[in-house]
Formats: sequence, structure tokens, C-alpha cells
Amino acid sequence: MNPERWRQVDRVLQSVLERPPDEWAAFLDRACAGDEGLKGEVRSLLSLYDEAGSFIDRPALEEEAGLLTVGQNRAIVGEVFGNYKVVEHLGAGGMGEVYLAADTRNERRAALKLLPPYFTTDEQRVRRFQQEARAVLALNHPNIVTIYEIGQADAAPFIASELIEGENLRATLKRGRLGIGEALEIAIQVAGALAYAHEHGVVHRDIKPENIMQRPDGYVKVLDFGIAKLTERKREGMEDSLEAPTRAKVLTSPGMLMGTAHYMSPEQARGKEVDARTDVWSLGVVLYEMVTGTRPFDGETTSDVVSLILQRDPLPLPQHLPDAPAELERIIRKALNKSLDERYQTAKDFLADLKQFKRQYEQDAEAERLQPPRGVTVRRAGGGNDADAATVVGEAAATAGGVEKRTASSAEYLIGEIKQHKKGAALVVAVAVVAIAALVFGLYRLTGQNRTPVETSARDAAPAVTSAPGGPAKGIKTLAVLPFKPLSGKSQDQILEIGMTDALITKLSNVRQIVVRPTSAVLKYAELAQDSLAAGREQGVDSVLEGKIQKVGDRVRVTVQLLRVDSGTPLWADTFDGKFTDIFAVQDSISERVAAALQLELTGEERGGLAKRYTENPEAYQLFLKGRHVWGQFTPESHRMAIKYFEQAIALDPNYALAYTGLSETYSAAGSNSWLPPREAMPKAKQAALKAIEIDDTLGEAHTALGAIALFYEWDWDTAERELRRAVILNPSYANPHQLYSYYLTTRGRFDEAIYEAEQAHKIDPLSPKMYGGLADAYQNARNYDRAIELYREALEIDPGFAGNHAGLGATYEMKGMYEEAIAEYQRAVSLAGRIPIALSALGHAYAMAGKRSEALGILDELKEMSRREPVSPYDFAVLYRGLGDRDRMFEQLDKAFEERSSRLIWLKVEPFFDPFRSDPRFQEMLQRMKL
Amino acid sequence: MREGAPHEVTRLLEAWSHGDREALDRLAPLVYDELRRLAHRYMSRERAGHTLQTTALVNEAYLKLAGQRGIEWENRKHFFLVAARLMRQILIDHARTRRSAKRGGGARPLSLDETGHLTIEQAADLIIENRALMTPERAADLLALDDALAELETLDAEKSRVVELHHFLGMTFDEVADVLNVSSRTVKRHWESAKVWLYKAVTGDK
Repeated sequence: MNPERWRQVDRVLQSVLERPPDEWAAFLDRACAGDEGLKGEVRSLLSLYDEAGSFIDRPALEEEAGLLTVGQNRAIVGEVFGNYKVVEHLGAGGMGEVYLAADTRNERRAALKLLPPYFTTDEQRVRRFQQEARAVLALNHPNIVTIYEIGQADAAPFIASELIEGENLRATLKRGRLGIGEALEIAIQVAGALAYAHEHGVVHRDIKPENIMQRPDGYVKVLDFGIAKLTERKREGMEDSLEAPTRAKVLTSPGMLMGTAHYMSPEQARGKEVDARTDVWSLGVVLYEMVTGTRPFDGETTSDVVSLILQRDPLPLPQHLPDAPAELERIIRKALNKSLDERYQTAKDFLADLKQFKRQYEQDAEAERLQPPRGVTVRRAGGGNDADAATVVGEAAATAGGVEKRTASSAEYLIGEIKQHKKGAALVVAVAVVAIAALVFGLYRLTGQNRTPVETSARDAAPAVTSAPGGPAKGIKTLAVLPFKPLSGKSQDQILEIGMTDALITKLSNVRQIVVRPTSAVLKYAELAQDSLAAGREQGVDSVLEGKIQKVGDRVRVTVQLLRVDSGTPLWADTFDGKFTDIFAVQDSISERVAAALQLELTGEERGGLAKRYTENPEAYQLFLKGRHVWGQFTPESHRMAIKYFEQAIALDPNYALAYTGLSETYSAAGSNSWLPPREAMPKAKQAALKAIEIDDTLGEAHTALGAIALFYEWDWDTAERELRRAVILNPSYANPHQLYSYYLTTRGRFDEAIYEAEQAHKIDPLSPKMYGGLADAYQNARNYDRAIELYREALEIDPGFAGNHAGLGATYEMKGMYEEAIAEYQRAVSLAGRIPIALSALGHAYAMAGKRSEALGILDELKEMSRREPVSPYDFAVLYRGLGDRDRMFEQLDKAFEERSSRLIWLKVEPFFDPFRSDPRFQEMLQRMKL
Repeated sequence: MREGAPHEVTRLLEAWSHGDREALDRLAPLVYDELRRLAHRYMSRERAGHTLQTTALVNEAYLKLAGQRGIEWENRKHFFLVAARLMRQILIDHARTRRSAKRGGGARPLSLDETGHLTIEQAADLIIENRALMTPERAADLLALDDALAELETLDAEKSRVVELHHFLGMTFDEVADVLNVSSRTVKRHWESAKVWLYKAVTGDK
């Protein structure tokens, strides 16, 4: 090109760029007036315009130092972004500047990241950004850095997230390669994060060592999920008129200082659409680099790297690491397969192989260590796939007898529960819409307290440690029992570890003077290395009990330590060695000694509680655990199975009160979800609860079940109050009865008491989004909307994926007349929980209130259509008609809901949404019928 | 600052502005050292939370080099052009060193902060000492940009000056407009066009 020609090209190019993109193609035609050569030149530049993005926008010197001093993106100390105030500059992160910030509401420290600005004038882009942001916000996983807020201040998007103290993997790798075990541990945690995120529709797109942080306690945290997508610059409509760019986008990102091209997948390098498999690839690159200390695709320039990624296979591992296990080589090759179809299709598959291999690797290492140096055949990693956990448990059970099996089953139930947790949370969308929903019976088992008493034996405990009054244990009122860990780093027997934990929690919960965090609250520490004191602080407790357990043959060794959280002082520590069959005696002994070390003076009743057993029959116990396990799956089929197991357990031990409780709850859930006609299921539920009480009147669970039936189904207010109060007294450490009692008090209009009980539930399990939401519900019904909004928001920071709290927040906004905000929250709830009637009706209601009638009518049609296939509660139709102002149809549907005994009617008297109808005689008549 | 009285700088700037290419060569070492020192302070003050504009710093350098008296605006503008050219040269020299060094060779291991980046002090020191800061990839990218910019200069000298002032010296569009005696809007249009041209040149299949 000569200067003359360039001037022509430049003139047209500049004119085009001044116009909106949708006019580009037409303008170009006009401006070039038949000069195809000129048009071609300009087009080829235009096609790169978006891709060029912020290329060289940032001053070169700042780029060098990784600083952004003069840019429009710079935050000043003291400046506020959303709820976050900048405290100091921390450095440049992968995607932008990172600052230490403080939440203006509660001073909590956070990391604030400012992203490169993008064009806010493009409405579609903004909407897409918000959609993406929602998906990212909803992620909640121990290996994913929690995002508190994604927002926009002027044109600059910002992200506030959990502040991680630790080292990133890039820094670790600078010191040299990692051992295989260590590398696997990191890869497994990252793969776990990826598998979870992918299930929630979020692809990371930028996995690299800079985005992987290791905390000192061993947790690995993945940063910047989905952020690459959020900041992607691409303009819609360009592809139609101009060639789509297929070039690597390697020069566009301002954070390229460390050369991210190395971790790009081939499809990314080609500029094609990416999916979850891109993350698999990038993690494969990271794993290769961790074990060899060398990047698999490396070159002098960015384009060298890209061409290797596209064309070459990496050097085989043994070239770097002569002893590299063949299985590791296979796994890495599969992750780094250039063909999308040959690669691991999901991070979950990748994770499974990594875990399997890690077990093998550790077993082999252990075998090698134990065996004499010569004449031994060491199993090679990857040689056989049969040594998984199930087999190990099976073998152990065969050698140790039934005792082990029982423990194992208990833990299995709990593990099942961990997996079910999210599903349960999603279903709970219902709960907060009108404070609670028909599903509640079932849900509290899933998301609230979970108790599975483990068989205990009534042996005498060893003499307790005594300490002087006012000693180190002074002032301890709360305790968290953390999941037990293996004694040595090798194969984890999670079933044994969690079984032990749950048994101790159940026992210690009987002691009134201390509040023990429920199993559901501590399960999250199970998978990973933990910093006990940090976990204790997170749980807001004064003391933590941590332990290790290992079973070798038929022997078991347990070590435990009780620590003060504030000072880290050990209050008591001990080691137990014994036969595995003595495990229950060990549990008794530990719980007694914990009580002694905490200087608790136990009543006879409490002492009994520490050693309580619910059945003498091991077979019945096992059936009970099976019942609980399938119950946790929460499907009609699993509940039919659960009923069968509980009935079999009762047949073996007719005095098994806990099994009756299980039966009662199963029927309740089936009735509430219309899996069985309520009029058939509910009486059975009640009968079983009564039977349980008849056998053991001190069983809190039984009173809770009976109270819930009276509250939600029978509308027998006196019984509800009596039973729920009793349950609260019997199980002071269980959050759930407090919450149900709070609901009861709300329906009676006793708001102050309701708030008090909800606070108790929240104090017992402060990190539970359900208990947090319950407190917000109480304020909402008491019409303290601003406080309710604060609480819902706090709850959502703990768990943004808990749909019920989005719905609760939405309802509160609606009550304040903030319809747009309400719609946004309901939409989040719908996207988390799926298009289920209770969430849709709430959304439709808000549309109608906001004047968006056609959207509301669309939802009405959707529900009508749905009701042909599955039961849709008349209450949901009533909600929609209420929003649409169709008074007659609303009352018609409320009548039907009454006939069905919909549990949601119990809030009729207090619910603000019904205010415009209270003077209607039909409403008054309705209240009378319900004795409200 | 080495030797060279203020009037020497002024004289060289004048000569350069009248087309004396050699004047630039003699001017360069005088400004070069000062700019390096500035780069250091630029970074360290950032740490203390001050907002410093490159332009202000270059002004400061000019005052130091040319002296308080007898400052003529035209000279100062020329000084900016020289400074921009030199900033580019500093970085490109640096990139050349890095490209020729094999990875790891000669570069002493650096400790990184928790975001995985150099600390500010380290970065500043490294720029001053002209030691391993850039990744070889970044160095190669910069050299490619330098080549492309040289090519652009033969096509459209005005645009290459815009790029030097805005990208290498870090001036705002308004400041660039001032130096080049055109409107900000013109600068912005030059910039957009130059940017996409350069992007094509550095990523294009060669």
C-alpha cells in the first residue's frame, strides 16, 4: 500500500467508525462506490475492529509494570463502588486492577476488581452482561471464590468478591515443579470447581495458574469464573456483514502480562465458540505444568505458542519426569486432546479419573513404603479400577462385622445429602414467596437440620479430664464438631469420617448449656483440608472439636482435639486405639470428655442423651438409614422406597420411635407435594408421629413432625403451638423447630415473638441460608421491609444460589412497590429453581403489578398448560389473579386451595399482598373458615 | 542528569525541530536517563496513592533539563515528541534484551506478590536496571508493534506520532491534540484508525 492509497482507505475507515455498527455495511457500499479493492481493504480492517478492542489503549509503561495509573478505570482510595469502599490498591489481577475494599454496611473485607470498561451504550450488551453476571453470582462452591456483587459504576464494571489470603499457583510454580500428589490434590479441587460451575452453566474460559489460589489451610480457590465472558468484546450483527474474525484474540486483553496464550484451547485460539471442554483443556495444561515444571506448549512469541497449540502434541511426560505414571500420562493426554470429541466431555469425568488415579497413586506409594525393598510386586497406578471406595468399605465390613456397615450407611446417607443439598435449595424457591410453601415439610430435612443418630453403645466413659472452674474453658457456649479427617494423607474413608462426626454432633446436641452446630452446617468442611480455627470463626463458635480417624484392618485409631477458637488454646486432646467394634464406646467417651473439658454440669437426662440409643436391633437400624438415604433423594419413587424401609425397620423393632418419625415425615412430604392425595397421606403422617411420641415422648423430632402437620395441614393452631414449643424445649440445639415455631407465631400475628424465634434458629445455624431467610421472612411479615431486605441480601451473600431468598427479596421489593427490582429477583429465582409454579406465579404477580400485563398473562397460560400435565396448586392461580386484579377468579381459586388444604393459606391473615381484599366479605368468610 | 546545560537542551530541540536528525541523537541520552528516573518515581509514588500523570512528569523532566528560564512552548512541545520517541526506544531496547535472553537464562528468580505480579518496587527497579521484566512473549509482541509502527510512519507520520504520544508516553487525547495542534476529535479518529491498522499488521499472517 502506498501513502496515497492509505489516505483513501483511512478516510473511508474513519467515516465508517463514526457511525453505528448496524449502518457500517450500507455506508461502506455507498462510500466505496464500486471500488471493490478499496471496499475490501476497509472491510478487512473493520472486521478486526472489535477484535482489536483495547489493544495498546493502555500506556505501554503501565502495561509493563502491570499498573493502571492514568486509565479511566482507576479507583481512588475512599471511592465507593456499589456497597464497597476502596481501602487500598493490591495489584493487577488477571483481568484488571484489584483493590482491598470494605463493605460499607458491615466493614467486611473484600477484594474489588475493576474490569476494563466496555460500551454501555449497547443495551443488548449490558443485558447480556447482567445475565452472565447472575449466573456467576449464583455459584456457591468451596473451591470457587465467592462473588459478593457484580455491578457497574459509570462505564466500569466491577466485581466484589471474597478476599483470599494465600499464594497463587503461578507463584508456587516459580519455585519449581510440584510433587504428583500435591499436583493431583490441586487439580482435583479445581476440577471439582469446574464440574460444579459447568453444571450451573458457567464456563470459566481462562483457567491458568494466576487464577488458582492456594490458601495456607490447603483449600484451593479458583478466581474469576466467567469473567472472561463478561468482558468479551464482540458486537452482534458484525458477523453477518463482515467476515467473522478467526484470529487468536491474544493481543486484546490488557492483562496479558504473563502470557495467557499458553492455556488457551485450540478452539479458543481459533476464535471459535467455547464450552466446558475448553476448561478441561486449560486444566490439563496446568496439570502438565504442575508435574513437569514446563508448559506443554511454549514458544518465543505468542503466535509460536498458538501454532503449537493448534498443531503439536506435547512432549510425553517421561521426557520431563522419567518416573511419570502411565495413567497420569493417559489422563493428561485425554484432557489435552485437540479433538473436542476425544477430550474429556465433562470436568466431572476428568475429576473422576483424577480422583481414581490419586487413590491408586497413594495406595501404591503406601505399599511401596511398607513392603520390603526387594521381591515385591507393586501395583502400578491405573492397573486396576476395582479399588474404589465401595470395595474398600465392603471388605472392611466383611472383616469387621455389622458394626462397620451401620456406620458406613449412616455416612452414606449424609453424603447423599450433600449431593442433594443444591436440589433442595432450588426447590425452596417456594418457601419465601409467602414466607413458606407447601413443600416445607420435605424441605427442612434437605436444607435445614439433619439428624441421623448413629447407634451408640452405653459403655461407661473413661474418666473425664477435670479442670478448675474459671479455667481455660470459661465462657464457651458454642461448639462446632468438624468433619473427621484421615490420620495420614492417604485414602479417605469419608463414610467413616462423616459417620463419626454426625454421631458426636447428635450426642452433644443433647446438652443444653452449649449450642452445637448441626451436621448440615459443618458438612462443607468435609472434602478439604481445613483450618479448624478459621472454620470455627466462620461458624461463629467459641470452640471446635477436630479429629482424625483411621481404620487399619480391624483396629481403629482416633485422635481428637478440642480448641478454643479465640486463642487457639487446646482444651483437651486424646488418642483412642481399639478394636473397630468398639467405635461406639469411643464416641461415647469422646462426647463425655468434651462435656467435661467444657466444664458442663450435666443433668441426668443430658447424661442419658450423650449415650442414647434408639434401637437395639442392628438390622432395623440399617433399614432406617437406608430409608433416610432414599428419603434424601426427594422424588416420588424414592419416597415410596423410604416408606418401605421405614415400615420394615418398624416390623423388626416395633418400638423404634425414630423410624416412625421418618415414616411421618415421608408421608407429610408426599402429601404436601401431591405425590399422594393429602387427605390420604396426612392422616398417616399424623398417626406415625403420634406413635413415635407414644414410644418416646422425649423425641424432639416426633413433636416437630406433629406440630408441622397441625400447622400446615390441620390448621389446628393450639396443637401446633403446643407441639412446636415442646420440640423447641426438647432439642434446643436444633434450628428447625425454632423456625417452624416462628412461622406459627407469624400466622397468629405475634410478630415480635416470631422474630425472636427466627433469631434463635439463625443463631444456631448462622450460615444456613434457610434460617437466614426465615429471619428475613419474619421481618417481612411484620412489615419491616427495609430490615427484611437487608437480611435477604446478607443471606444471599452467603449463598447466592438459594432461590428461596431471591424470591423472598423479590416479594419484599414488590411490597414496597419496587416492581422492577422485584421482577429481577424473581427471575433469578426462576433461573435457579426452574420454571416451577410457585416461582412463576410470583413472577407473574410482579409483572401484573408492574403493568406488564401481557407478560403476566403469558405466565398464566404457561401455568394452565402445565396443570394439564402435573398438579399446579390453585393457590398459584389465585396469586396470579390477585396480581391481575381479577377478584372473582382469585376467590374462586382460594376456595379450591382451601378444599385442597393448601398450606400456603395459613398466612392469609397477615400477608400484605391481601390488604386490598380484606374488606371483601368473601375474604372475611375465608378467615373464619380457617379459624384465623 | 549528565552534563549538558539547560541551554544545550533548548538548542538541540530547536535544531531538531528544524530538521536536524543528529540533534535528536545528541538529545536522547540527556532525556533518556531522566525518563528512567521518572519511571521509577512514577511507580513508587503510585504506591503511596498519588495520582501522577505522565505528562506532568515529562513536564518536570523538561523543566529540569531545559531550565526554568527561556522556556518556549514550541520547544516544550518538541520535548514531548522526543520524550515519546525515547520512551518507545527504552521499551524496545528492553524488549530486544529480553528476546535474546532465553527463558530463565540470566533472569534471576523473582518473588511475586499474591496476585501473581511483580511488586511495584520490583517493577520499577527492573525498568531502571533494564533487567528481566517482560516475558519473552510480551517482548516479541512489542517488537512486532515497533516494526508495524515504523511501517505506519512511512505511510502516515501523523498517526505514528499519535501512537507514540498516546501509547508510549501515556498522554491523553487532549494533551496529544495540544502537542500536535489539532482537535481532540481528530486525534481520536487517528487513533482508532491507527490502532486497527497496527492490530492487523501485528496479527496478520506474514
